[in-house]
Amino acid sequence: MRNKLIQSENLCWLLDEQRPEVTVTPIIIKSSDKEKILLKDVNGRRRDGRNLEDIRPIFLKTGLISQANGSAYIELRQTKIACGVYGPRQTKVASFSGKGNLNCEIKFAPFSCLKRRQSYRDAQEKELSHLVFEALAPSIRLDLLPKSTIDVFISVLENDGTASCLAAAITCASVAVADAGIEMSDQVAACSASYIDGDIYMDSDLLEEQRETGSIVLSYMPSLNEVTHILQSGEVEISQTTQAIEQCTDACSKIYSVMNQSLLESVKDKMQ
Amino acid sequence: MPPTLISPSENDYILRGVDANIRADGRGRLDYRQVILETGLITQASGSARCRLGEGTDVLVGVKVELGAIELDGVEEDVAEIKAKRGRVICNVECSPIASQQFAGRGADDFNIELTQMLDRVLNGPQSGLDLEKLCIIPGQQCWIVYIDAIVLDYAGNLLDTIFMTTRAALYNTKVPKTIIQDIGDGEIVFDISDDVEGWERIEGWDKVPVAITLNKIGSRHIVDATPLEELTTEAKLLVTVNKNGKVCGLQKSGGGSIDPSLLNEMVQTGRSLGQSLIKSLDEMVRREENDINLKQSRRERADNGKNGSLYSKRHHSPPPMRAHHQPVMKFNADMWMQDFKQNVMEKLFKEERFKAFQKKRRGLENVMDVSDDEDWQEQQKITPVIASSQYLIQSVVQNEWENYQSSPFSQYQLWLQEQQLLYAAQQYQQTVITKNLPPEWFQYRESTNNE
Repeated sequence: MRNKLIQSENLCWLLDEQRPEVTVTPIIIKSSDKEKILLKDVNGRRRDGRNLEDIRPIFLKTGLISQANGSAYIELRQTKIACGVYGPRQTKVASFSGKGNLNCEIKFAPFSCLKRRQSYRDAQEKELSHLVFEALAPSIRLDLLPKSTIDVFISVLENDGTASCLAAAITCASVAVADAGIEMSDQVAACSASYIDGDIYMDSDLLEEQRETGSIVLSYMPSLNEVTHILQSGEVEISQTTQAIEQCTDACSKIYSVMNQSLLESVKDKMQ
Repeated sequence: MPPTLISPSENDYILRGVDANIRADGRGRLDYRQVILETGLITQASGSARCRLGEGTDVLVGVKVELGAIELDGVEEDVAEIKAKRGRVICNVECSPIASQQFAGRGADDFNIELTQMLDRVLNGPQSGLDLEKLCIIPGQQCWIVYIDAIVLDYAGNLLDTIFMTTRAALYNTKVPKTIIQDIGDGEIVFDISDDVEGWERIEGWDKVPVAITLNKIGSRHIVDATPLEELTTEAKLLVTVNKNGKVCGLQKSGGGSIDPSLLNEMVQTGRSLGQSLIKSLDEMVRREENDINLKQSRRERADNGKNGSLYSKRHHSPPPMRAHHQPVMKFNADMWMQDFKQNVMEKLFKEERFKAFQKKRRGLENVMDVSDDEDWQEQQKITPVIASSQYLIQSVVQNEWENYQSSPFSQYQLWLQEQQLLYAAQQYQQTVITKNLPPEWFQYRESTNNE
């Protein structure tokens, strides 16, 4: 009995020996540390080296999905989006419509955002789907396709800012629709911008978007010179809005040339 | 959305009207219908308002302020830090089946979601102007949740603008009970909600809540406050939300068409200036109404000598509006037009008479005054017979009026009617031709029955 007690006492002593002398609570990086990252330096350059009015370099390729009638893939650095277009095919619902139906669906991959996305369609996805529809509908000649449906499925593989993601999705979907050989009046290019501390950051990424006071997404048909959709949020001076619209239309014209280039290449590939 | 289809002739009629800056109900392009605003209609709600546009659109908004827990699970840390100190706003729009049969069942679901999103996008964010930090009771635990529920009772176009207007008035009317917070110690905080009738405060920042102006692009022009038929003609809609300071709090395009960038800028500008003036008149309306109520209440209390100080305002509500009639497509008073026509002609003829009289007088004077060497006078004499021959003038006046008449909506309508009659006659004729060319034995049966 005594022996046992002594043993346990010894044990206690041993454990004490093993304990560290100082304990430290886990270090949590607070948001105030994050804010120290400057969005632009003294020369007006952003973190990735572009100016305020520059957009990210675009990679755009068509015809990646073999089963779809038309498809496209777009990459703006961290933003990666694929789009497939099916149709025009017969509308499944029996009701007659003189104009074609355009059905847009945007889906975020579960791993695409900071937080894990659910696999079912949530409210934000529905909202974005509707916005894509509204941006694309004016460009497609739906009046030539009675009783038929065009399905546009967009899946976001990586999301680097929701507004820029929406803009890229619209651009990508437009190229995919063109790739499917559906008649359009013009291609739709889209561009986003953030209002931060009185500056307009074109094509903002996630970190910039987190600090924005407002944002704008503009979709534009460059050769017809028509705006198909505009969505602005946040409290903004009207002069800034005008400036942002101007910058966005300029950027859209630049994106348009990339879209044309990729379509040309796809045609060349098909010819061979 | 009661009517869903529009005939090409109606479409054309609206298009031309908009081009000529006169719409079917006599408004110009940028004229609003009369806004009727009432507040404090529902005693169960913390705040309520009802807004009617002309005889048509009718929206009722009830605001309920309820206690709720601040939800922080699953939120990133830097966002949680801000969220812990804030109350919340939750919006919902519902189209009642009263307004239209199409809203019955699940028919209005998509429309409801769309409207809710538009309202939510503006009111849930810093641009709403509401001071959400004032709605927090205990940071990280308890806050006030502001539920904004809009019900559409009648639909006659321009729904979204009405919803925003009504929401603003309802938020002004909202009474948030005062809270008394006590710190018991040990980090425990207890609060009491005052049950005093007078112990309430307004939601801070209600005056910064923006209003929305929907601009409808028809042809190459834009109009505000569209009727349902005009909404069907609309190619593209632009929703501009503006606050008191003239800042744009949101832009959204909807509808199937597209807009030229220069027109877009113009539309934003008009939306902004219209929105600011709308806010001014709305504020005035709301304040005037509350002053009236307060005055009545104080009078009543004086009459009661303070014995029966009523807890709730015993205010009589105005009777419900008359049954909303569908607006006639062609609204043109022929009698009035005829009167105008006559008056115009008479006026011009009268002027003509006066001119002639003046000429006579002048001629009379001629005998007295020697004007034979006045070259100006002689030259005038040469020209005037051509212009002033009264017949010619009357002719020109009538011609002018006739041209005016032809371009008036009434005659457009008449022409349309004539066209329809001609079409009908042509159809009849065709039928007779067909029957004539048919073999006669086909009609034998009919003839034999006739003979009997």
